[in-house]
Amino acid sequence: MNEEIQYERYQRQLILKGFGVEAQRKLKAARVLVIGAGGLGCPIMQYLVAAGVGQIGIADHDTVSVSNLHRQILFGQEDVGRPKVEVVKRKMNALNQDTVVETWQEKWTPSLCLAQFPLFDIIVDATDNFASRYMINDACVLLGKPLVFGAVSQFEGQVAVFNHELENGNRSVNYRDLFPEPPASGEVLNCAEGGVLGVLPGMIGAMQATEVIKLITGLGKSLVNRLWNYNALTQDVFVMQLVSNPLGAAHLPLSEEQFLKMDYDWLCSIPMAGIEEVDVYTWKQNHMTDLVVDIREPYEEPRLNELSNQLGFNLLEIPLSALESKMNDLSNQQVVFVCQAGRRSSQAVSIWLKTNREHKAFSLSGGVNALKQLNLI
Amino acid sequence: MMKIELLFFGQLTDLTGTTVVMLDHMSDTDTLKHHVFDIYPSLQQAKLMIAVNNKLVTENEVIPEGAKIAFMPPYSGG
Repeated sequence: MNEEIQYERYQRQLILKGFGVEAQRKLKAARVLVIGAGGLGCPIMQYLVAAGVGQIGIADHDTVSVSNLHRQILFGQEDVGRPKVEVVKRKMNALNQDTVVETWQEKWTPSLCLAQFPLFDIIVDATDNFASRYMINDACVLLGKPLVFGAVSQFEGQVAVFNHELENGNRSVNYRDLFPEPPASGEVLNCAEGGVLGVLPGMIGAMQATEVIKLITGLGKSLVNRLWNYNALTQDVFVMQLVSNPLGAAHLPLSEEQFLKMDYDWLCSIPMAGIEEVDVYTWKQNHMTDLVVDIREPYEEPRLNELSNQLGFNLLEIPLSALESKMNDLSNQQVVFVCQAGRRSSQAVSIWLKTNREHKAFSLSGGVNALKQLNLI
Repeated sequence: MMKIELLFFGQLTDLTGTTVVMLDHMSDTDTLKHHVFDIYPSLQQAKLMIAVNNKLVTENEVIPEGAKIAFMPPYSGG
């Protein structure tokens, strides 16, 4: 046994069929960059550091907040307010002193991709927004780096290995082959708006860590050209075979210059066409005679009945899924749609625009969260 | 002809109110898309990928009899 490897520490994986000292050395020599130290990033880092990955880079510009704690299991109550990467580094050093942990407490940018990706073997997308996801994907394609992708939505999650070098020298599919362009702003809810079961990113992050370890050691069959979808409510797994998409390739930047000129924040903040928003102040001043339609599900709190009595506006509660069938009830007036954070209400306006052109509909910007912030409820 | 089983994933189920529908057979994915968008107009604006029998389709493709079709959106959360 080579001295560089602690036999006792890794004994349970060393004795695995096909693993052995060779795989452990590969882990020790590996350099993995994890972008995002949130729900996905926490289990990814823990398992990679525990497994003996030699060098881990971790990037996150955020500090720990109370609403992180139900799913970001590296953080405790005493960490609230502290930079995530600071807590992560301390905990990872305590977990395994053999792993070198490098941190970036800043928003990840295209120039950081170009400077740092070449120094790592594998990039892991543990972010929570489309701007970062498309930027990381495009940089991995441009620089020829394998990308372990994971994402969650409410009770479901996706995992895939993108842009992995195949035996024939080609690269496996990337995120642009699945979704050539980002969705319009407001179309897809993030965790803050749509919610997420705390354990779900734990499972998806653990899957990502598994794929990283497989890529490094060469064990098993990677999720290359396959997308793994998991539903926590049903425990159903759906695996999709992926193929390359000419439309996706057309959207990739072809050079570092082009990549640096891409404005990912802007690309991912294009609002849905024709959606009119109204902020809380303007709504209070000019829209009290409009019908307010709360399109959240009945279990979403707080409800708006009290505010409706207090301010004297008419309120209807119709969940988004039932909106189309009830559109006739709303036809003769101007409407303001409200949801938790202002995204689903944008969708509601787009549904409205398809059937009703006589009266206007607005989406309350920021939704119930904005009402709460202004202490109206 | 055997029916088509159409599965919805992620937040598409918020727009359809269901995770699965059975539909009469349709010749190809474009015809299916138009039919489904007629039933659920809000899906038309939604970003989604389509798989026929667990394989991603990137252009109009023939639907085999009794096929399982998936409409899956991108997820952003982490």
